[in-house]
Amino acid sequence: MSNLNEVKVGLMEVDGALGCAIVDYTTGMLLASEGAGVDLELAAAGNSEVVKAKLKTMKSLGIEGGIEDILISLDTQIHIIRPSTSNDGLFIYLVLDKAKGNLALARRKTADLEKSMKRV
Amino acid sequence: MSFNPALLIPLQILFESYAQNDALEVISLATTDGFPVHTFTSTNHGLEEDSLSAAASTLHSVSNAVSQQILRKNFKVAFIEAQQGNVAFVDLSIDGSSYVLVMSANETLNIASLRLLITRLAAEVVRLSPTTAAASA
Repeated sequence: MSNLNEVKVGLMEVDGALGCAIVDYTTGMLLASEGAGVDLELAAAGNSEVVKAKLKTMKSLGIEGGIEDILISLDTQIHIIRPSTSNDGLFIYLVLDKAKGNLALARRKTADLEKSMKRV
Repeated sequence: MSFNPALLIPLQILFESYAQNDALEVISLATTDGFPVHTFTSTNHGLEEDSLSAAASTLHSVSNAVSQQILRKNFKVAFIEAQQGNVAFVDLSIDGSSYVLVMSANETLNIASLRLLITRLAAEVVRLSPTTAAASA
């Protein structure tokens, strides 16, 4: 099992990683972050709203279960949001340079790190 | 206002499980009128349980008054950011009585992590009481 710092280090080892964070989406606050590329504090707060909106939409559609991950492709970046199963209310956030990163590999690595994340 | 004595041992066990985290220095539950229920401290600052409970009670009253006056809503969590650590206070209701839960941590635990831990502990403390747990289910 990995602590937050080890998860952070693992995320930054992903090819094309620009920044990463572990976020409490109930408050939008950062538990851990590394790297640059985007203002991670602002991104944490904004993406918390994305997760909450998705959960709300799923509920109103009557879709049961949780979110495995949310993948957002921008012109130059890929953003991966992966809620934690070991820590309710937290998600992993990874920002990748689209030109240097590989979505499939990054998604796999994020999933592995999420599974290994210790309960805070 | 008195805390159900049957819940004291489970409460101590719960506090001890959170105390495994080296960053946490104080975990305390007190009534909102300033009486201690149970306190864990890892530091030796000469901190007295009575003084801590009195301070928690005062901060609870002030926080509630401020949130009522400004937001017209009840307060849930209050923070104090110190130079080398943070303290959080959470409003709790168990079996119809009001309590305040206090958790302090050194600078190795950021405020977001402290908030996560205290709100998680608060939910677990509430669940200790069968009647409160049933009401919130």
